[in-house]
Amino acid sequence: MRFSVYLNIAYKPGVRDPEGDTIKRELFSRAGLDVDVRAGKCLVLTLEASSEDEAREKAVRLAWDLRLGNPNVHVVEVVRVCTESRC
Amino acid sequence: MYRVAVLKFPGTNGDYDVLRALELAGLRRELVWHREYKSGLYDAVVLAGGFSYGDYLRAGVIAAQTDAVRRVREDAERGVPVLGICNGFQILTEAGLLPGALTPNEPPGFISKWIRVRINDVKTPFTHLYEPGEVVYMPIAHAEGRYVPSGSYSAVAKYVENPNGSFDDVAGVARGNVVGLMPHPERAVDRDVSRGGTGGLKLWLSLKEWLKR
Repeated sequence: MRFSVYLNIAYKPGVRDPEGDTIKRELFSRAGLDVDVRAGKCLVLTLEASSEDEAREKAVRLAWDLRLGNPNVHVVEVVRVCTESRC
Repeated sequence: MYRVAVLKFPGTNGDYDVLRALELAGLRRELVWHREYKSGLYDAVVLAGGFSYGDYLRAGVIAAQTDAVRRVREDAERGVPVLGICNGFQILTEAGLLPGALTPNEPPGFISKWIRVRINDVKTPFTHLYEPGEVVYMPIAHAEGRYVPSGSYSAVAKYVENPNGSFDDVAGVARGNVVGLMPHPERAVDRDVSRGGTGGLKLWLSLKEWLKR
């Protein structure tokens, strides 16, 4: 079955995130809102797997194998998994 | 004497080229930091190119929500000529002063080269000295220049050879006195430094003539 795995590749907590800081300062704070912002990059990997768990595991492994994130500074998180018919 | 504001945000880098082009055209001009911009002071405004706010979130989107751009909108509504170049054009579309959106190039990537541009609309404050359909050389330097329209629009300039997948070869759009261009007319004014010639000079002279009216 084909699953779509939504990955967020973002800086680890504690690593400076200038994009998130800028969006917070220039858009949220300026609108008078006390909201923290962290930026990340969302990639949707659609791949073949026998179960949701396998799809999740495969996507994260691929992300590290292909160095979509830099392990020194990034986290790779699965945000959502769905089958093609339920995405 | 007419006062032309060249608006600067953090990350704007085309400001001095615009100042130089305006100087060559004989216009009094002022570099204005976005926080200092006041409406009602200037006879024309140029939003120069660059990477405002680091292109974070999306090119132009953060600058579009500044007080400066709200004031530019007030000026535009009073008929003040407004020109956005490259990132300035992206800011104007994100602010809704111009229709449509500028999306990543197709094929993808940053393009920096001289190209031929056909001036399509010669009724704007920035193009009226060009002949209808006149073809001029100007440089482009952008990664998000593929124009996607939303509803009707007026193409002020079109690419002769479409470099970025832009809809209908659109290189620039006008809405009344507000004009946006992806090519850089300020980098095509000085024979000594621009290898592609001076095809942008008439744009600045057009503004000068317009302001005299």
